[in-house]
Amino acid sequence: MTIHDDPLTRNTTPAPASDWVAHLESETHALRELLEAATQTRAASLTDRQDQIGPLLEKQALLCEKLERARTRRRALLQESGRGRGDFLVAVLSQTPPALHAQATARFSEYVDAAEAAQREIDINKEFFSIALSALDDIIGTVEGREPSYGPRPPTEPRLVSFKA
Amino acid sequence: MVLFDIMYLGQNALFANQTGVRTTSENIANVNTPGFSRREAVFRTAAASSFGGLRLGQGVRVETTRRILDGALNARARRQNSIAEGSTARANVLARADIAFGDLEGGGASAALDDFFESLDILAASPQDQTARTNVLATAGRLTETLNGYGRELRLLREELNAEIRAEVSEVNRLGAEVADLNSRITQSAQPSNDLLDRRDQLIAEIAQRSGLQTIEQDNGLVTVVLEGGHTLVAGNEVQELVVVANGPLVDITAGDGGVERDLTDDIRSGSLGGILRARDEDLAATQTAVDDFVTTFATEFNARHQAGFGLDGLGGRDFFALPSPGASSAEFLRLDPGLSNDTLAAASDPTLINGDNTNALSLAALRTDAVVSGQEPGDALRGLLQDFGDRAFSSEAASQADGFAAQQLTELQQSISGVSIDEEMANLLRFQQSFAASATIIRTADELTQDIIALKR
Repeated sequence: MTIHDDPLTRNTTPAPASDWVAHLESETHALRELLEAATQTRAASLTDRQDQIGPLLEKQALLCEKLERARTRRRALLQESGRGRGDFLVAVLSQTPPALHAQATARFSEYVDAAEAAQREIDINKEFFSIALSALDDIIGTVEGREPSYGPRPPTEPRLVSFKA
Repeated sequence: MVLFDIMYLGQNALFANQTGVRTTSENIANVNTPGFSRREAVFRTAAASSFGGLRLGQGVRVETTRRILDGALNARARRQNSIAEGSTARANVLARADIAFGDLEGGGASAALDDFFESLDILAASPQDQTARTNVLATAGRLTETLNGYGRELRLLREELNAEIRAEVSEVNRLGAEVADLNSRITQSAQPSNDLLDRRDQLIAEIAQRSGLQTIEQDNGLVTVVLEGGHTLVAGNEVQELVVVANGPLVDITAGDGGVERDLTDDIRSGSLGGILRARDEDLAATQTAVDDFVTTFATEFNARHQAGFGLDGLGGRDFFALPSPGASSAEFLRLDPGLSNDTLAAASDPTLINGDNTNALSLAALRTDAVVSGQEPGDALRGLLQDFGDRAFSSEAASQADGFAAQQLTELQQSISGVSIDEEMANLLRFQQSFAASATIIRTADELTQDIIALKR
């Protein structure tokens, strides 16, 4: 798994003023990657490509870690500037040269849009995996205790899904 | 992406998931259902859509749920099942005959024949002795009754199979009609139900248990069922029924193929129907002929020798046994000559020395060691045909076991592909459960992070 070096991964201290535009771009990119990974995970969980789930979950975990560092950085900026969450753009602009304000505003808009798109996908996955787990629990409860039947005998221990979170 | 799109995407995913889990669930529920083929959901990635410069996947859809099976292996297993069912049916009939017809120790025809010849030896030692003469008639009577019993049992066994043949043919016709009906239903639906396809396969397998067959599957989903001998039982949604017709005391099987009535009795040679017909028309018929031939040859030779002698009344030229008219079973209808008595029993060769002459009695007793029945002594010939029948019964039982074993191996192989393994399905479920639980954990974290970003714009 390769996570490209970018402002988000370098450190968690407040960025220099000129870095906030790049910072927003990087986080937007991470959100889009998260959206894509979430979609792929759901798709893979329904197909015979189950072996892809582990790497996809790992990718999502790394992206979450990256977004968590970004959140720490945002909070530091808001704390330093004495502003609330709703004034984040104002705080960013206060740290950004006026010549870059338009660009920073546009990046912020894309950033929030990407977060909303990712949120929709996450909402779907929340419901999807909740129902799936509930259904599985019911079925496994029904099946447990039944006599083994004919057919090839797979390993009794199921393959564990590998992921870091 | 508007709300409807999100709901549509969610609906797709949920439907796909439910289908995947339902497929596993269905597999488990049908683990003991005969003929059920394991299912597998076939997924297709839905086309992506654009949203704000993003390419959003639409997730997956279930394209179809397919049956896991190997057509060639199924056909081979079905053919072997036909053979095994035929062998078993044949062995069962011969086992019944073996009990009824077997040369039971001390009570069979060989023992009766030995007793008869021993009574002739005693007669030769005391040709004028009334007790010896009575004994010859008694042992001859027992021999006749025993041979009559064999003939009667063989006939009854063959006739009793009429009812079984009728029942099997009726079942073949019923199953064929159901296959024809399923053909119709399968071709009417855009996407054939796996349950209907399984049901049709199961019915065809049940027909194959009764008669060997071949199937021809057409592109439109129709299956044509052709029985051994080439009769098309099912064509499209029509069944061309088999018909049972009387043939003397027995029954034959015919069918109309394109308006032409065909006799299929000799064509069906596997499946339970084929096994019954083989037992009836090959094994029992051959044994019946052999017993009749033995009785005819023995009685004719014995009569010839008896005719050459003279009774106590000085008269000769009389039969000892009465053979039935040609066409009737010699074994079943052999009788002692109605005129036979102590006085007419021809022990003497010289009518002038009636009381002291045992020459003809010796000639009659000597038949025991004369190779007059197909080049064999009568006792050996009788034991030989009984042995031959025993060999048929034994080999049919051995064939039944061997064919059954082969069928079982193929069925197990077939089941390893199409059958449901609870262990395997359970492992699938646990794998689903673990990966889904891991996904849920990630989702909770991601949810919190994205919510936090969305709140920035308030």
